[in-house]
Amino acid sequence: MHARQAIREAAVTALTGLTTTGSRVYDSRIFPLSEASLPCITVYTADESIEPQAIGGLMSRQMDLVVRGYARALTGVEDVLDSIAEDVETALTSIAGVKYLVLRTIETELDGEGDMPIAAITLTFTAEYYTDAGAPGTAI
Amino acid sequence: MTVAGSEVLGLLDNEYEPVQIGNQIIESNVPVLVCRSSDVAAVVHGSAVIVDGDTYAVREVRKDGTGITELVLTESA
Repeated sequence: MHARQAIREAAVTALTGLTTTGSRVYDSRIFPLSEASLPCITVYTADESIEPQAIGGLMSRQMDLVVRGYARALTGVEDVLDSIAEDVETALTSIAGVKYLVLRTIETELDGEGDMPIAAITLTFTAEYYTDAGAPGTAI
Repeated sequence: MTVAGSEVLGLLDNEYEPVQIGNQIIESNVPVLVCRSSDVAAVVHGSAVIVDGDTYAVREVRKDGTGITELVLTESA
């Protein structure tokens, strides 16, 4: 298993059971979400930059870990998003194998096209970890 | 059905219209009430609509200019 997968799965575990979203946490969700599944969280591992270090084959890796929260509410939908963000930031402070985990950006989107307002909040973390060249499955 | 306190004739449509937010699709339906414009001339955003015991609020008024108005609804508490 690539360290990316291990980090993503660890994030899903850390984010499962939060106050606002409960067990509705989806790893790499691609298919549509149902209205009944909201509020929820989706987790993705995205772009990654890799720098070989001078010391014997060590690779320094900086990966975007993307956590998106979705909510649907007649009123106060942005309040729900902010609650999700608070839950996520509180729960996701460290991941095994990750040297530094830093929240970089928060973005929100609101949509009023459905029968009820739907909104999303995207928290993008940078996860810095190291592997040996040729051994991406082990974060060191 | 009742629109802004008055009984009117109309047709409620509730088509599937998925919402795309970011790159995520969320399943959704949009209730639209089709009425004679003369029956709903006083309707404004937020007017209450009751159909079969379900309460909605008007969020958009689409007059087509031929005497027909579509009221786009949102669920109401």
